[in-house]
Amino acid sequence: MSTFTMIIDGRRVEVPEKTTILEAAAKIGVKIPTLCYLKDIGHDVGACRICVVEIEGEPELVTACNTPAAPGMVVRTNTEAVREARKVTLEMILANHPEECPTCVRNGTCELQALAAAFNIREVRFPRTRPEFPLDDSATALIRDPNKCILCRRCVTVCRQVQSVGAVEFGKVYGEPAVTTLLHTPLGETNCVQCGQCILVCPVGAIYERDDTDRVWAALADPHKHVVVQTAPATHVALGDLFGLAPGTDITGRMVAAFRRLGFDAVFDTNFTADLTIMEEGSELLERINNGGVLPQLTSCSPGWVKFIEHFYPELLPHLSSAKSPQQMLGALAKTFYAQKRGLNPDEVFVVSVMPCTAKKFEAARPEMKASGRRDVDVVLTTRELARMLREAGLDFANLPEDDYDEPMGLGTGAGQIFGATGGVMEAALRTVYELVTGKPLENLDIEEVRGLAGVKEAAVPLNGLRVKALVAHGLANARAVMERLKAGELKDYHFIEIMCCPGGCIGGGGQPIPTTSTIREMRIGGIYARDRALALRKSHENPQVQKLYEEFLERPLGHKSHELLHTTYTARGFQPRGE
Amino acid sequence: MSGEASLAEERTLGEFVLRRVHAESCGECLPCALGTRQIAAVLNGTAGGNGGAVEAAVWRALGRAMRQAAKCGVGRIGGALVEELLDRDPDFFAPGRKRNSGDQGQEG
Ligand code: SF4
Ligand code: SF4
Ligand code: SF4
Ligand code: SF4
Ligand code: FES
Repeated sequence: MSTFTMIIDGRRVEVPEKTTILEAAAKIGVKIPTLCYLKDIGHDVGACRICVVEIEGEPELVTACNTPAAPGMVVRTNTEAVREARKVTLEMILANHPEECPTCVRNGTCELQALAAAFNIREVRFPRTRPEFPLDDSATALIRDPNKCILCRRCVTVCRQVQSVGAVEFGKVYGEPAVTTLLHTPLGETNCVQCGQCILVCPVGAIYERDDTDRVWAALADPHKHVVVQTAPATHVALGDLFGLAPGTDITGRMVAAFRRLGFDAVFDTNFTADLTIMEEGSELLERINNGGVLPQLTSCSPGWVKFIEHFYPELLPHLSSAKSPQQMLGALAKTFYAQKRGLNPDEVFVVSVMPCTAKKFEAARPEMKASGRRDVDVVLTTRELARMLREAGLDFANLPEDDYDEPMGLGTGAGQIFGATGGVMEAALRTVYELVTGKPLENLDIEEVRGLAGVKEAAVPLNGLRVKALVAHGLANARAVMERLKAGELKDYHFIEIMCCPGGCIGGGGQPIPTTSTIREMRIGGIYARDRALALRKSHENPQVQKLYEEFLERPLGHKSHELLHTTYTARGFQPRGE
Repeated sequence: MSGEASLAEERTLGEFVLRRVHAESCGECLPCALGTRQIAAVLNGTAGGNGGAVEAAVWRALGRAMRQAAKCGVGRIGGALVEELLDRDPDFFAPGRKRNSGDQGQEG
């Protein structure tokens, strides 16, 4: 790669071609402030102009985030004009921004707040110029506060380019620029899949999860409630981020200890029902293969993805596995199997899920998720919400001792653990399906082809003369590309396709700690596979608690009880919002 | 034509063009979107809080920021115009000044 030399703030710097001024400056330790730019999602629309710099010989300032450096270019990043332009823009943003930091969900993680501090803004010299807008709290999982929106348009890019949904868009409201929803429809009535990727990229508190922590506190305080909690695979390696631990740190034991201190009556692991999902979904796959069922089978454990296919590809719903997600399986079992076993009234069992995911809030509220006769999962907390509860309780999380999950649904294998990363469901399924079909132990449990952040991955596993062909995609734009191939008849010889809604899988879910960047996603994925390697059991069918559940209660995969409790149906939702 | 009359005309014309710039602002970049909104608010008497009592020096900074940092010619021209009008009349944006009717050049 050819390189060239340029000058930034009087210092020479050598950079490769196609370097932006922002990147070139970073090379010599000059941090140019940014607000709208977000490299991870390729968002460089140049909206905020906070990153402006001077270039010798140019009459106007240029934006460092999206202007390529050039040979011989002389850049100044800290002149009077630069500081003034940045400050004026920032003050005009603040003039129209609610001063609500102490009560704002993003207090402490807000990029606007950080910039105001960095620019030493002590007074805003402009008046307010826009009216107040109502909150949009029509969606189950997320709330939009247009008053805090700073028009960076990151959400528009992530929703359209990364997720290929396009539920939010840039337009005008009352003649003024605004980020709004498709046809100004309340978000809950659009095709928004409630994945929360917009929350992760929003620099401020303009989109956030519906906070359900109060409902959990209330249940914990209610002597008539038997409160159980389950923890999703991806939370095991992410919660620590919020307590100063490195992303990817395995905090499983500390998380269990924290729940005990908060007063939960039983602590279960969604990894357990992830193993159960493999038993059900794997059996379903074999049944489809053996009996000429609809193939390829699509995974169904990601509610953002399920809502996506319901909106955009309803004609492909027969491909979707009927298996519920691990969260819903655990909820249903907690109010049936577990309640029976413990002699509890199922109405008194209160199920809390801790999920990396906002879409799980939507999933738990789906009307069909009442296999036990009542809502199977009462409250879904995101990883972020759990952290808030732990802080409120004053727990020194990072230094808690380790504790173990409760029986009979507390044991998960490595296969259940890897559900949290893209490719993990596929790898877990292949580990089990191979051994069940061939009767031979799988020599290498690490199926590297399906791991990592490539958008679409493939693997093939020989199974008694049949080559099982598998595809894996994460991020809905990648899912859409795969669905187009499926529709075009190009995937006829594939058997199993794993789709996870969020980039990187659930470790990058919309309920995860902020920030969640590509680097952090990779670190969490590292943590997931490290935990898998460290566990004694790494195959779902070897999970003794799952085996016992079948013996004592379910009888067999795809049996009558399984169908009742662990499988579900879907709704063709179509594409257009209702426009109300 | 007396000097007085031409100053008044200049002001009328300046306000007209500034309103047009606000109406034309696409909203894609913040110095222009927010700057023209500040301008429109003072011209229309709709600014909140202190009613738009922004000092001339701050208006000048706003004009300069728009001219130098806006993404396209709309905001840059608007910013240059703010600076030019202030050169001619430092009180151009003073609040409470009699303005021309707000609907000139405004989009519906
Ligand atoms: S979005 Fe940021 S600046 Fe605005 S109220 Fe919240 S924390 Fe404060
Ligand atoms: S939750 Fe997902 S689908 Fe909905 S607006 Fe945000 S990014 Fe788009
Ligand atoms: S909602 Fe957030 S991400 Fe979207 S434009 Fe507004 S500030 Fe940016
Ligand atoms: S990928 Fe995981 S976090 Fe994202 S919507 Fe699906 S289940 Fe939720
Ligand atoms: S960060 Fe460069 S224009 Fe916003």
